[in-house]
Amino acid sequence: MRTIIETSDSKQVALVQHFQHLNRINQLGHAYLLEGSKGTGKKQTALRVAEAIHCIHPKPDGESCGKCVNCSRILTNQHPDVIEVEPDGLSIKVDQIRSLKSELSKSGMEGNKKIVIINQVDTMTVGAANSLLKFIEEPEGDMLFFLLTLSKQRVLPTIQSRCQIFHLQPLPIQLKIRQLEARGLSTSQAHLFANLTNDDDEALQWDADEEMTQLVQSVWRWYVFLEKKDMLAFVHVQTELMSISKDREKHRLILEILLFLYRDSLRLFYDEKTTILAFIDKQAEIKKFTNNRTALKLIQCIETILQARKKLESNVPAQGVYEQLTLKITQG
Amino acid sequence: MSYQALYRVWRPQLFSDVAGQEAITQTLKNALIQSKTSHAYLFTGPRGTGKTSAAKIFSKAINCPNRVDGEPCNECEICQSITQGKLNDVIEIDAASNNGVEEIRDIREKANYAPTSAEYKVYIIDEVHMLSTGAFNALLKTLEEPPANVIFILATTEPHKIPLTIISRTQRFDFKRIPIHSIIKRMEYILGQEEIQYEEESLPVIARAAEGGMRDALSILDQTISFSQERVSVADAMRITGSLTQELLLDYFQAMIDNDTKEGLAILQSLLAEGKDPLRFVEDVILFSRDILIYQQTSGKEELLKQAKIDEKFKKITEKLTSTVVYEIIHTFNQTQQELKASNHAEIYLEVATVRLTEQVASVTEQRVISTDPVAQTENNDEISNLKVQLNEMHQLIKKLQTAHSGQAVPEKKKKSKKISAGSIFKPNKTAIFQVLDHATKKNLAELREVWPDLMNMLTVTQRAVLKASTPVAASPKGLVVSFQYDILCQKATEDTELNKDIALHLQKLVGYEARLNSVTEEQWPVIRKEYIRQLKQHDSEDTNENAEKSEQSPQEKEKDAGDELVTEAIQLFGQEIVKVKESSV
Repeated sequence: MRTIIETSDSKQVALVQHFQHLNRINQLGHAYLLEGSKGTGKKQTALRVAEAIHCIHPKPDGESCGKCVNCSRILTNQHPDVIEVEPDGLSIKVDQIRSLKSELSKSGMEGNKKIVIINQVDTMTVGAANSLLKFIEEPEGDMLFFLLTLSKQRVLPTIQSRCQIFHLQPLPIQLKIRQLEARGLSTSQAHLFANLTNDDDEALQWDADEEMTQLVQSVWRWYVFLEKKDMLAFVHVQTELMSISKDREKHRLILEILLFLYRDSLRLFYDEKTTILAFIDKQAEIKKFTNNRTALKLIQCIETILQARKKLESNVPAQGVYEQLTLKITQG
Repeated sequence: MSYQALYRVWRPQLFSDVAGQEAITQTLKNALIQSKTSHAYLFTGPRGTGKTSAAKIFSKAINCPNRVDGEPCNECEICQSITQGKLNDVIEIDAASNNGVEEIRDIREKANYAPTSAEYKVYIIDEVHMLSTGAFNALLKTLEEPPANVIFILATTEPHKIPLTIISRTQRFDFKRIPIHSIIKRMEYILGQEEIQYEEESLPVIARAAEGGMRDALSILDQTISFSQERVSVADAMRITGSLTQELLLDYFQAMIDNDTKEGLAILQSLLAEGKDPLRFVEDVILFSRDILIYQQTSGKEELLKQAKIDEKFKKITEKLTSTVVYEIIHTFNQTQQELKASNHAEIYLEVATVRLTEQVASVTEQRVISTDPVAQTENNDEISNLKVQLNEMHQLIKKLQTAHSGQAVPEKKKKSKKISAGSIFKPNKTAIFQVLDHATKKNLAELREVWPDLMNMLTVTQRAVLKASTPVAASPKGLVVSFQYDILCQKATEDTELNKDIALHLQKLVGYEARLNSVTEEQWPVIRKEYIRQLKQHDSEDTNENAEKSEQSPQEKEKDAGDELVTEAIQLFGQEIVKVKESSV
């Protein structure tokens, strides 16, 4: 049960302390928008603040004790005054917001501040977002909103302007790599996964996953074909990539891995020593390929991959996307 | 009482408090003074420009018994109860939550009852763009001719979603984004009232990040105050808005001027690592580029600049950058901005933009350096190539005439040559190949390669067998060069007139021009190509001299060798002179 606190400790210490301080001097606003990529500790931060507010025996610096009834109930998601809203299916619907509003019109169960944590605010439907607007501007009663999102650009500007916005910074990549290595990943795996995700658990899962290793190797072979301008790359899409990857998530990963291969190429092209590569063990080979490329060609490749990603997101069949990508890179 | 956000505490209560919308507030005040108020208003504009505030002030002003110059007194019972949202006759409706026909029917019905305590019944319908089509239409008739003493105020950020029939029944006021200086003035006032210390320089930073929304500005100000505790400092404002210092921006521009991609990427990395907002970075760069342009054009008027401060470094950079480069920067970053909004790979997009700019600025400046020459040169080149084409056409015309004249002589020799060469190694017809190469283009070759399989299909089985192990290596509208793996097939293909005719015929159908087949073996091809390139260079340098010399040499060679290959080669190479040669040799 302590894991939440421990991870949030290591992730957004300064931010949590800031909120605790505001709580102590009674200067907490009523709406905060927390923006940050996956695994940056958005929810943990919100929960920590909720603890600090409701804690019965807070420490002198405003930190929650983590032991009292309220703290443990928040940790186990059972506190009646801490309400979490998750997307119902793919989006947050108007009805969810309506029922939230009627819930909030009642006074706090334990007579305290009500805390609302809305996850993935960007998935709110237009109706839901708009009906939250007036409410979030001047909430009746004592309440605190935490809106969590991956990217604030996808949140209605009228909602943004009603909140104080915090951008949660992911851990520096060097630190992430060290953490992953400490948890038993090999150096090369740690580098790759630290680039691909912010989430340690996901990285560990991948490490144990045979399919993931296969996927990475397959994409690597694809990359080699592409760089040699070998038309086998085209065949490779059908024979390997399509048979390995069954779901959308895998397809997304394939392009992501390829993207990082080209990004490494770009970095090696400029001989950057300071940056951390995703494919640390393949450095020499990538470097060899980049020698016959110009920087503009490389960024063209990267742009092609980014375009391909967009197409994949808008549900273009993956095989077509890969094949087009192959043709563009080998012939371009 | 829990803490209230600044924008709630300092919601304007008088028309004169509404910042940056003087035209609108004055119009409303005048309407009140002259008692010429309308029964329906539509307030539109971006977030935080004062739509809802203006609606509330208006509802107070029209009901306030102690109205002075169109402003409410804010002290009487009615004013205060409106401010607290307690008055029954001023009804604020959130259209986003009550967007159905039912709710509008309810309004219509209740609007028929006269106001109870105030003089006018005011309906403020906020976020009105969320009403359903049915609801809008249900509202239409009431909006056109409401009962006496009922006023509707519709407020929205998205006027394009409002039906035109609604708009035409209302007086429409478009709220503008609030200018930066107005935001600064208002913040100064609030900070003064709250007795909070601040650094002068921090307010413009916040005001810029707010993008014309007062509520945004106050939210950021709130955040900055809670961060800095004692005093609002520039550093805190910068950190919270994610703005860049001029120093960093100048370094970035310097990297672009120096084409130092490595440095550019390093700057990018460091500022992203600090947690700067990528989008703000893009905006800052665009704004800064704009300032550079303005500075260059106005020869240094500081008051027109939005962001930049004029110092030595800034001056130096503006001197080095040309407007073309600045346009390029703005263009690239504009595109990046679009991409960023739809993606979560901000870092990679920015890297791409940086590499592109640092590399491109290089090419742009290079182009400029030699800009006077290239234009002239390209023109010259065009002229020369035109002339060349014409010259070649003339050559061919002459050749045709010649073959027509010496029609008897040539075929005889060809027969001979066949006999001679039959046993020996294949000798390609270099002249013809060179001629093809003269006109060869990539496009033609690509076209040919594309139709090659079709061509094969059109040939007979035996013909196909000959061409099976061959690939086209060069093509022009007049001919093509095909390389063969085996000498023997090469020989066969050259000798087979039927095959040649067929290929020409089929190509006519496939690509639209008749091309003559020239064969060459795989080993010979690179040699011939090299020779051609060499010759081309020679031609360029000593064009006329060489021709003369060669024509002198050729008769001697002729006699020595008498190889018919050479004769044909000479014919095609030297045209006129050869006519004489042939006559003497026969």
